[in-house]
Amino acid sequence: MRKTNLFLLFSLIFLLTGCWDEQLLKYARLEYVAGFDFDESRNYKTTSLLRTISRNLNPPGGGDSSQTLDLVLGTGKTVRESRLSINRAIEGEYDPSKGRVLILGNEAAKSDIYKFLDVYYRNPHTPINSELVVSEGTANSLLEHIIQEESAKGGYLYELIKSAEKNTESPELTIQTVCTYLFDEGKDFVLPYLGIDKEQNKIKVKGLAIFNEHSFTGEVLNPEDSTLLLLFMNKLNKSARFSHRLNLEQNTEVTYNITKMKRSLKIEERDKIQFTISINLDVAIDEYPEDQLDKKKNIEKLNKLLSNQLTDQAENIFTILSETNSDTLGLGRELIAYHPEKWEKIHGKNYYEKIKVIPKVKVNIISSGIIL
Amino acid sequence: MKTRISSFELFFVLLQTQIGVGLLSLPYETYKGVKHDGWISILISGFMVQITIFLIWTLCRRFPHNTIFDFSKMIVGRFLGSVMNLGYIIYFLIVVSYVFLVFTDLIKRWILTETPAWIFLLIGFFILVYGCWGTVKDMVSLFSFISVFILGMLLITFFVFLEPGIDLRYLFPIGSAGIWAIIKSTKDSFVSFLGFETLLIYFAFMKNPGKAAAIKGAISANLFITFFYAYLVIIATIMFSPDEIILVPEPVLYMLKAISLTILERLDLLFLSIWVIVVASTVISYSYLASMGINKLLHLRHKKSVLIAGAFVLSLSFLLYGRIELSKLGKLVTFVSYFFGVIFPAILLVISFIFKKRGAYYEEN
Repeated sequence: MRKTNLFLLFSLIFLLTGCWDEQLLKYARLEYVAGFDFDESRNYKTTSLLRTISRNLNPPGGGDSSQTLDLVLGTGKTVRESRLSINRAIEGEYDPSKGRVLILGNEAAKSDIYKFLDVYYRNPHTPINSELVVSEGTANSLLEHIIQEESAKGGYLYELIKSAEKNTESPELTIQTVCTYLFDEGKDFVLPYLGIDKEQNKIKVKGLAIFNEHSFTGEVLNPEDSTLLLLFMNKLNKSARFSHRLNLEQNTEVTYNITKMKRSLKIEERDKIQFTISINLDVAIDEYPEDQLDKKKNIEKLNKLLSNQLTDQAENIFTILSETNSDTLGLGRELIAYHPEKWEKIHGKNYYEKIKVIPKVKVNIISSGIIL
Repeated sequence: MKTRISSFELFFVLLQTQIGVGLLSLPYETYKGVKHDGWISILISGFMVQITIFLIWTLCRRFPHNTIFDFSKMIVGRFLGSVMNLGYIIYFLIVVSYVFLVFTDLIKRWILTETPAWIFLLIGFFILVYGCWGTVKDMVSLFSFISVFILGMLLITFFVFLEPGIDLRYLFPIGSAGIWAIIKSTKDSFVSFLGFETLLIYFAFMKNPGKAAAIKGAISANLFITFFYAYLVIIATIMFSPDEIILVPEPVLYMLKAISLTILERLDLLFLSIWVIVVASTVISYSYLASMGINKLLHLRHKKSVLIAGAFVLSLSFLLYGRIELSKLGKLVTFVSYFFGVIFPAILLVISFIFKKRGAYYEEN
């Protein structure tokens, strides 16, 4: 019995494996935002926003911790090497495992972005569920702006993107889900596009950057178009608002929110493969100073006006998409899955050229708030 | 007898033995063979294992309360039987070593990158010895208890459906690989069902091995595993795009890593900690049977045989670690398992049928 107990006690020692792999928080310098650019000689340039929580060990009035942000730069032939050079510049151990946002500079995004992301997929300690965005200028300049102008509240970048997602202005993509798109021949994706608003001197989500295969096409959709595109992608989130100035009557404005949607696809084979995509939107009016929404006739009229507006807008968006050859709706995947024989005919690098999209929007007002 | 196990307990034993290291990479393995039709391949494999279980049962019921270590000698004679028993013992121990190596490699890659390998092998050794120390009944109650954790694993995977990136279209078109390719690929998915061959011994511990009720536990365990595996393959397929999944050797873990809940992140670590328990039970089950064989072959006491089994596994793992490619070892284990799981029992059955060999308690019903 004694022997057995001793044996057990001894074996317990080996369960304490923390000795080798401990990573103490007090030595870690946690990264909050990372930005990727190229420098002049096509080296990878990483700009890292580090969050330092300085603790006063014996605070006079209870626990008090203050947060400061630091900007560190590193360059290298690979992303990993650029991180290594960051590590040389800071005290403690550079730790990117808690990053929330990853910014791709404009030029960087136009190259093969998988080269930047590979290290994220390969290492088990990386934050593959952080947000991926494209910046208007270099990622470095965006982060410089945060440090210089908005240093105190630099932590809002993540929330900024999250709220854009809630308002259906940006897709819910993370580094990991982007990887799915990168390796899918029948799908492309869009990423939020951040820029500095000159007038307010603030960072803003300026719309969506359109990608084709592995790189940014250079085309950007404005926030309102972005929302409509996301609706066509069947990605309605918490809310999706549109405002229009209705041209037919003078100075009539309306704002409405999409509460529910339904999408249907119809495929026909003409000289191109033709997709007729209709979305039915259930809409709640948010703002409409004209009132008189009790009359059926007025509602019908408004329904029609809004439907036409959005259909026109959608046609515009799909022209941009076909120019950039970007299949953000995943129509190629649709063909692979349900019409493999049609896919056989068109598959290839630029298959989207052989696809034509006819968008149709139908708006159906179902609520006008608590007044009519 | 006190050491008898019921059909219900057999369910848990088989569950714990069958679910093992193959679980994490299953979608990857099936994808390499038949692309997105992997789940069909799993269902077919499950069905074939079901037939094998039936075959093993027909063999075992001819020799009630005897394990294969006993009735092999009755069927093919003392010498050949002993050789076969030795083969089974070594096979069981090689499987355990393989599990050790895969486990070590995976933990080293996913969580504890700095920890030296011998630590994991030693931990495995202690768990092996500790788990095998008691009676069969002890082991069975342990397995019944920790089966709760398999439900935990299932629950964690439900979070995948929260991920906005999942795309059902990745499952279509169904059956595009062609029926022949799917059937051929079952040889890759078959290996994850390994563990059913332990029934050659466990049936001997059943109360009424001859009755159809005895097989019920085994059949339902295998059914559960088949659907569990098919489910895992399906969620991995809809989570990853086709060209991506072939880059990810452990898709089940990888997809959990990407999920972020409000209060919880890195679900893969949570899943791994549960998986470790399930792997430990596989190790214990196989080594228990091996030590039972050693016990009968060399006429040693049970605890001594456990130590011999443990020492053999430990030294073999040390010897092989870092010196052999795991996938090669995996292929070898798969190849050998066909003999020990299907072909040998079938041969024994045929011989015992032709020469009308039966155990002492055999009753016709």
